[in-house]
Amino acid sequence: MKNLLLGAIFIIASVVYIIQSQKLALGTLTKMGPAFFATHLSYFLLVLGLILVTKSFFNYQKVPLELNYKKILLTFFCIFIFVFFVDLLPFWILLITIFTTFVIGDKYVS
Amino acid sequence: MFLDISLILYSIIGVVLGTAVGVIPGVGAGTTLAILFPFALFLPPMHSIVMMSAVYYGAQYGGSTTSILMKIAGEVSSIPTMLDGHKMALAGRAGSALTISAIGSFFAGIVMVLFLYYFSPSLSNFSLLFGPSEFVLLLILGLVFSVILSNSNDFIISLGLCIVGILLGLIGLDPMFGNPRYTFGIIDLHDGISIVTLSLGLYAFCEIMRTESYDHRIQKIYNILPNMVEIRSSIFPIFRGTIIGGFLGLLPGGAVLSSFAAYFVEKKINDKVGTGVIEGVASPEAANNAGVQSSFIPLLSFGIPTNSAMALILGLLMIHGYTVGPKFFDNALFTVLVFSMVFGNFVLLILNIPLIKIWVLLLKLKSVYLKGLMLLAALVGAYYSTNSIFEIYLMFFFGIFSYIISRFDIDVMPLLLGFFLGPILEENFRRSMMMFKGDITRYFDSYLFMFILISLFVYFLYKIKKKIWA
Repeated sequence: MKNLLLGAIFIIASVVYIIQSQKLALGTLTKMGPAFFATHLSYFLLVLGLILVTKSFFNYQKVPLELNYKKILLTFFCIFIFVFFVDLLPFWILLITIFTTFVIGDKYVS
Repeated sequence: MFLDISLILYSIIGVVLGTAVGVIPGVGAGTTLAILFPFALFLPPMHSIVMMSAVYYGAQYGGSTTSILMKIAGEVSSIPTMLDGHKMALAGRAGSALTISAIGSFFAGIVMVLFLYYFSPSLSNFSLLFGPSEFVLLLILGLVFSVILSNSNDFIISLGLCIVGILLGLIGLDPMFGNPRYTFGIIDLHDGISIVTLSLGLYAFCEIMRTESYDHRIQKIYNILPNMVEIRSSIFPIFRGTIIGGFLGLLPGGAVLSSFAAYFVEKKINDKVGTGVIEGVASPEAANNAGVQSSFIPLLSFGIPTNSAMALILGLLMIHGYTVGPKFFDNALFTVLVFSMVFGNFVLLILNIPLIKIWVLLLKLKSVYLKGLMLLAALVGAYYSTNSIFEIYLMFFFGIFSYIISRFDIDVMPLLLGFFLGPILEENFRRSMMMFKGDITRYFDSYLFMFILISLFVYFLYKIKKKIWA
């Protein structure tokens, strides 16, 4: 599970970087372009990701992630309050609002 | 002149201000010096330089407080302290961690100031030995050790995270050509991702989202002062941290690298480092402060600023008409600066030890209140250091990522170190390849490079031999 998840993340990240690198100059070893370093690292990351995914097929153990989605949503809601009101409310009122929201919300989500 | 009351006053203002900004995540010494810079121009030359220097080294003290108590690193260099310091705090030993951190910083600060005074010219030659090729190997060495010594116990995952960190660090404008790269068309990414955003997301936000309560974990806060065992255990780590920080501080980015390097060395020596032991606090804190003081050596000897804060101090020196170089050491300002640093370090120790009693009270708060405060500190720190709403969302994204992978007991340290060192590594690699005209074998011409490479090779041989015998 761990290897599969991390492997997938590495593969996605490397593919995204490889695609993005196509838009940039690669250059040569003497005069490296903006994409030179990142492209080579991305290919290396891709190999690591593939190794992890392959490993996961041989040694797959399902581990429940046990994420508290409500807590994640509460944190996001607090961020949303900050982002939305940062220019509208006096700063100290904004901070008190976020703190109170988090403390009250935590009682229901934990 | 050294006992001039106004100079002492400015030194005190500087260290108090530095401690305060060190506590606030994201503000940091560099930003504070930039804000103070216009005001410093109106002060007499010596006063302004003494104050600005005091802000710089004072910030290193403040950074450890929030790292230990709230798992929020005020300064990037405080991240290694956070790993063991926060675990100690949860075990009711925050007082010991903070006291040893203050003593370690004080010792390293004083030792390096004395080195600065007596050995600056000879130590400065050391920094000239490091060209781009040696620096490339040193950075790779730092990254390799972060991967080997991370808590994940999985080399491939740690290496992958380190590369992800390097790739994230490359987002933004290309340092040589100036065009945006890997920004995905998002203008907010043109300046790159802030290290404050990343570190707050990976550590603070992950902690905020965790459901686990501290209330049953935080034991009674018994002793504010460390016991004899802790003091004895800290002596050698402080020495080691001072030496590591003293040398790495001479190099660009070394003041930050030094605390990581000291932590890794300590972890290599003691397997318990990482589980909440005093050695994991003492050594990086000493290294961090030693690095800050020794970064004055290349600045004053050659005018080489090793970070943004040093660049501002150099600018101030030049505006006030001082010329840095070997002759600077004969100038009265140098002696005044050294005395003010000794004095400043004493003030920091006196200021910090009594404050520990107040700081540890924070841990008596229920975990929900503590997490609420962490949330506020993280939001304020990220927003005001970058002035971007986008960075807040990014911080949340990194928080979720860290929260998910923390479920598998994976250490995110290699990612963070990769992020920090990656751009420096790329820049030096590009520079060295331009110098060597693309001939990679020219790396082997450097004696220092060969020395580091052979040391690394011998180390790996030793590890393999040990594994075979086991």
